[in-house]
Amino acid sequence: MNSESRRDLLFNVLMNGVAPLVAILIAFAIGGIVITSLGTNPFAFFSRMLSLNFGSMRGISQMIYRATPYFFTAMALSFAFKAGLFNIGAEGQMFVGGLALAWVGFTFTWLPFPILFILCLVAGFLGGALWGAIPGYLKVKRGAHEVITTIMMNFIAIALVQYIVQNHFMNPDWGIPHTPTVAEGAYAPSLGKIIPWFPAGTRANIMFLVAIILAGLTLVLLQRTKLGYEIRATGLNPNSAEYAGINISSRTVMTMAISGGFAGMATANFILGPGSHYFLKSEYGGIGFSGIAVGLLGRNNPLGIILAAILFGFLENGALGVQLYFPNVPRQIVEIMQAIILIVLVIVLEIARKFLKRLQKRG
Amino acid sequence: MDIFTISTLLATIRMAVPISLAALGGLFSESTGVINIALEGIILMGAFAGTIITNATGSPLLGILMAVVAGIGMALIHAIASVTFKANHIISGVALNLFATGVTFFLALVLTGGSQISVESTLPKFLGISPVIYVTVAIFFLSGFFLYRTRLGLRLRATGEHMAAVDSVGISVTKMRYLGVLISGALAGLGGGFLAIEQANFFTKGMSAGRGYIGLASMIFGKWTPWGAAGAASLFGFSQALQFRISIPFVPDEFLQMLPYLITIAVLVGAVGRATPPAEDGNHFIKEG
Repeated sequence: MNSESRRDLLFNVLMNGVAPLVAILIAFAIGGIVITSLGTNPFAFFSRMLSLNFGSMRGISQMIYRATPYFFTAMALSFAFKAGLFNIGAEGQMFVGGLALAWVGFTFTWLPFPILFILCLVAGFLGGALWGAIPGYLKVKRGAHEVITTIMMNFIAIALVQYIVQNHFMNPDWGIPHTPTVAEGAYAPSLGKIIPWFPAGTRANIMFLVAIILAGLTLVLLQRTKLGYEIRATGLNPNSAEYAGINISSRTVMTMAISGGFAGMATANFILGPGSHYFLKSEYGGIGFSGIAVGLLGRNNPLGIILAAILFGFLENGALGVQLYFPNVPRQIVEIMQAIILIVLVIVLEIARKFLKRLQKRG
Repeated sequence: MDIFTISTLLATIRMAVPISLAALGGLFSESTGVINIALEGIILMGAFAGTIITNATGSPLLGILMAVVAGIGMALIHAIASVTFKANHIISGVALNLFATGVTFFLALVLTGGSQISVESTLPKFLGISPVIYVTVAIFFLSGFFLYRTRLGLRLRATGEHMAAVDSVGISVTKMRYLGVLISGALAGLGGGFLAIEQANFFTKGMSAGRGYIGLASMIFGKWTPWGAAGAASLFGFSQALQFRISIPFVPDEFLQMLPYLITIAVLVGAVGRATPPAEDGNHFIKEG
């Protein structure tokens, strides 16, 4: 092994392995200190969490159910990152896509499975893609920075979706504003129906498999196709990409659209999967923003993102269950830990980067 | 239906105070080139800390001061991450917003068992309105003077326009940036303290409700100037005040809610005049050699 490939290996191990692990460990340590200060044994707390998630197939299935949406919003961040774009509008793209997919599901009710199910996913993708493409277009045409426009688009989406549901789709007798329920043809089958060792009636559903397939397809798209090459080239150096004949403007809009499309499918897990089968805005709040943490923890790699999403699902599902055993520790402890993971991660990554640079200078 | 009444004016001012303080905070931070989208979380933290300390000590004044301190504390984390460790400003901001949402909800449950805490005492009103409103107006006058007429203010702004030039005359870019970010935390924290103690008279989870981002929008709409930001925040405060007072025919509340964000995008795409952010916004200072 020559010194260059050894350096690459060191880079990979430090940035993609050590740094995320350090961030996770520090978050658990701080979480543990807080739990101790409330008079609870943190080891008992976390081991209960572990057994709630991994102790049974039902636990695993619940964890997967909680993890699935994070994959999609995280992919929204990370896909845009590949082209050097910062999409923090997953929250809004998720809402617009979610409403679109619910609309298809309760409108074209005569269509059978899997046609309606697939159409719902396409609608979710397109809704999110539209909401993502607008900031891309505004960046290309008018130079508006996508960070600010995507933030603003989040709040426009929240108000717009609220307005549409409340004034056009909602039955006033329901109390809580939500859409009508989607038709059976749109239901995402529970994993229990497909994979024999999953217990029947669990909420983890085919959207988790869709996530895994999309992760694979994205890797192929980025690494093996011309479009993927052009997207990566735009991200690495827009000037030389343009010099090489790549139409950066169209690639920027397209990247933002695909990125938004990922987020647009995030709520399919809840709406199409086993459960209430309608769009309920208040249930999804924050998944778009947390996706930023998941994407970075997964080091912007589709496979890494699956692992990071599972960690977030582990924390969320664990927090819901562990309350019964330790009612004095509010379940928001995991939200704090998720935030700590993100902030520690960015700092550790910069330290690792600095260390590698110093190593490189020495030769 | 009467829109332009004294009570609407007072409501507008009350709504505008946290927004304008967040906007001015964003302005101080970005004048040194550090983007601060943690304003949202800082307001929330200020609101929480203010409420807890007011109730614990019986002094709303201490509560307001604690809100400022909590804001500075949050800003310090942002400065350490994004200035010292050169982390991405946006990511650090997102992390702090997530943190504030979680930690305030968590502590509210631990300390009181509920997610809403009422504030037990408020500052004595002066001529019918909260003294914090006068302080806010004074802060705007002082900031205008400080940023454009004092040596330190000019240095802060120079840092946001050209870091290397600032460094070359022996001024520490790091110190300037820390100062800008910490001032922004103090201001947004004060806004949060006002929101809980003086305006709502309670703390509830997630009560910042986008005010930090509307502050950011005001800063942009106001073209990165204190008076522009104050004007924009007043306009957005007015639209918020309207939402609670009347329903305008053919204009749903939700469209009033969208207004600040739509206007910001319009400004950014140049439809309503051009706004130019500080040249070094979001950049890191890396000393050559």
